[in-house]
Amino acid sequence: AQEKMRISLQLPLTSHLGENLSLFEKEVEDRTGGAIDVEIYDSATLYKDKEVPAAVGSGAIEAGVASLTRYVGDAPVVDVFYMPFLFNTEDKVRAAVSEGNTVRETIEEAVAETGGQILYWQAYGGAILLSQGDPIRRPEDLEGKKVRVFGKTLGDFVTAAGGAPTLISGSEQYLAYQRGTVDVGMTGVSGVKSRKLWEVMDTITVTNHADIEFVVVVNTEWWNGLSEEIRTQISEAAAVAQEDVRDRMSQIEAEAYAAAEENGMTIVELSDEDLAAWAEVVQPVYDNYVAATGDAGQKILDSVAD
Amino acid sequence: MHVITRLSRLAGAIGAVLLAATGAMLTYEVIARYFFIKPTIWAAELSQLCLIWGCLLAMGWVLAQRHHITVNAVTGLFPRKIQRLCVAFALLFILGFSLIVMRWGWDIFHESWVRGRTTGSLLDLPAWVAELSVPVGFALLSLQAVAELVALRGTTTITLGSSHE
Amino acid sequence: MTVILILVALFGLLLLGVPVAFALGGLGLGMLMLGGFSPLMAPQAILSTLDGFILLAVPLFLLMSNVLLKGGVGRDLFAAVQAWVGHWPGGLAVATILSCALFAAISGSSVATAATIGTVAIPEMIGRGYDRRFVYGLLAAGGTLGILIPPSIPMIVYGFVTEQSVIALFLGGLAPGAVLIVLFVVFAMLFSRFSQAYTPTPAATWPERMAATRRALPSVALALLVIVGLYSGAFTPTEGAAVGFAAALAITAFWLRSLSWADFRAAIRESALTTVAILLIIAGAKVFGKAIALYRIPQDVSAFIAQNFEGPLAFIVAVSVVLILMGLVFEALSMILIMTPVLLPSAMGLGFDPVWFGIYMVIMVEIALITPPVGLNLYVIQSVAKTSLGQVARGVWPFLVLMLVTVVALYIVPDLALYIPFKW
Ligand code: NA
Ligand code: NA
Repeated sequence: AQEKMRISLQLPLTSHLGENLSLFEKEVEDRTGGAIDVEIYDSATLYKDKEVPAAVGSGAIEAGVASLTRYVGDAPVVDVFYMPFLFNTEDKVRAAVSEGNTVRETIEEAVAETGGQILYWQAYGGAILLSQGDPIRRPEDLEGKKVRVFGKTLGDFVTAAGGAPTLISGSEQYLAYQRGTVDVGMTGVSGVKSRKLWEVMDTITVTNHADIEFVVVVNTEWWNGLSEEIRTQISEAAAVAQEDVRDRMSQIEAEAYAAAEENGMTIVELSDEDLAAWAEVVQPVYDNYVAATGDAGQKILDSVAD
Repeated sequence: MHVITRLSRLAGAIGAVLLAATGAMLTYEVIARYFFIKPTIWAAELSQLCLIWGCLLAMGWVLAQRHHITVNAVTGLFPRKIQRLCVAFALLFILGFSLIVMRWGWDIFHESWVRGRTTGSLLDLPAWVAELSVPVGFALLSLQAVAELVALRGTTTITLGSSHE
Repeated sequence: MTVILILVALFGLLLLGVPVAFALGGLGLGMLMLGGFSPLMAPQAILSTLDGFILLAVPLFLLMSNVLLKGGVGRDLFAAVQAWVGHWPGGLAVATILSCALFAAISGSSVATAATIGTVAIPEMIGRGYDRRFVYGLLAAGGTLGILIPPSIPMIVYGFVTEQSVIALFLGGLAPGAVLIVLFVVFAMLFSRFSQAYTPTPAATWPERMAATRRALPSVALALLVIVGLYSGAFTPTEGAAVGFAAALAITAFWLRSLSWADFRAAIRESALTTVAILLIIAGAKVFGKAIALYRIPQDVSAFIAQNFEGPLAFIVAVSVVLILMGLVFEALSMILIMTPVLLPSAMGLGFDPVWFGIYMVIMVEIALITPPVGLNLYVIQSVAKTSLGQVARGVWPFLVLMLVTVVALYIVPDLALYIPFKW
């Protein structure tokens, strides 16, 4: 009999995560000879991103795509990717999410306790800062400024630098920048392109202070109910999709930067001295993280340091 | 007055106060952010919590007050007897829906309670604090629906709600 | 086939008098369970709806306008405007429209606007000999400005379900609102001039004008504060509503001293009743929305539209006809909540801006508010004026035409809705 695998996705199918999910759908249906029928519910028609952990964990739906940080309530370890400047190059990220790495294994174990488990990882790229006029090179450039954030850990980061974190949803971002509700923006660079943020901000500081990861999660009970053979086939499809999106991500980011530049944005990189200045103030974020996660968090941080 | 209706009224009063309290918190937030550039981390989340609890606590009271938005264009044309039948049907429909939502809403609360899940937001509250409102609110609504069914024989009410925005 | 079954079930439940929130939620839940989904989806959807920060603006805007209402601000506004323009040709009619527009800038609801201004304006206008039907139609239609001029509860709801910026929607309503005001005023003046059926009002003296203006000014300033605060980015819609509520209390309780403790409690009580009713409908619609997504209904409708309607003009004409028919019996929020998820994907596919489409939907919903047999503003005016529904409905049609003219203008010049929020 044909088994349905329904996947909830926040973004439209035309986004790079959507395209990647379509690739996964094709791979699964080819490999299983149609025994698994993948249905993608894109554009948050079934669930918003933040509802996905509960929906998949409870078995209300077989699978979903969520930003990894959505698991922070269940598994605080996931926010290691938001530790300031910890994963600020593609190589570091690739190492952390590779099969068998401590970072990845610890997180997958923690997430598995929610009733859902990670099937594969979707890269989304690094977080950058947006501003009007001067770039944000040093912590003092954030001082006294209102900064858009999208989560508690990023809020801690802004606070540590002396700024005032303000939660702004993706849809209010454009107007919040245009109207000055916040002074400094924060987003993945692909968001600059899709939301045309160059109309309202003129400077990108390539901080890569956090790494944004999405995960495709499946309900554990449903997964365990599949035959060994099918599970292997789905895992193979997942591996293909995961590789593909990570390979394409640097290309996508490069295109986004090019588009931003074309539309008049100034793009500023951080120097080693700048990074050192940041390193001096962000320790409280790490401390909070270890306090929230205990041994597991410490283990992850140690493994990255090695 | 029926004891259930009295209970609903009390819950409704609490709900109304919670909703109004959001005004005070968010005004404070604007002042804190705009004049002192020091946004609070609690105002947005606590007022959200007040909205959730306020609405769900007050559902039964709103039913008792006949204030749920209802399309009366067709039932208004029926004779009294049929109208009352329609109201009974609507109440049963509400009761069925409420019981299901209450039952599964309890599961959501219970799971968060057992797992110790938190919201992961700036305030990082336990997730169950908000989720408990669903079983509580829908229990109150179910009770009120039953009370309305029981009282239906004696009343002249012929609709469950009013039409407004 | 499935679409027709679902429609029959939905309309059946609604027309049998099941409250809209539970009809949508219950039917949606049933469909989900039939589709093999867990009933968990219903409580999850309810929680995630109420967890929307933007929806906090709903009780707060209601509190703001209810406090002002109890503080007698409607009467003050009408008196002030009348003192300035009452002696114009058809001056009372013009004063009525402008009062509706001003009150609309305080209130997010059409019904509240029609009821508030109607209570003071109808006796005054009838006393001055204005044609009754014209008066009723004017008030029913003028009241609909309540949801086009910000703040607007339907816009908050549209923004919430489509994830569009509510600020953009609010700002987008300003220019079409101004067009509508101008059309209404011009029509009222022409009608009064040619019918000659009214006793002109003597011009108010300067001291009278000053006194009336002094009482109305704080409320007008409050309306300006909210819209400028939103425009300038000083606060989000939710915070703007909170500030508006606080300022409304300050104005009525301390400045005008027209709000008693009992008034205040009544304002809180009534705001809560309406808030719960509104938010539950949104939650119910969310459950229903998931169900129709599961059955792929928006996709089917899009495919149907793509096959049968060539281009944006045919689309918008067809949609308008459907919305006008639906608006005969449905009220505002249900229409927006049921139709938006179905229509918006097609509209965007045809190149319509989602904010533009929101403004368009709001005007279509305004039309629904004044078309019989079910038109809330008709009911309100009927009960305020103690007349028959038929009398009110007969007075409304010229205004209906003017609203359709506005829709056409909006279609030809999309910037009416988009210039202020995005290009100014
Ligand atoms: Na308004
Ligand atoms: Na109507």
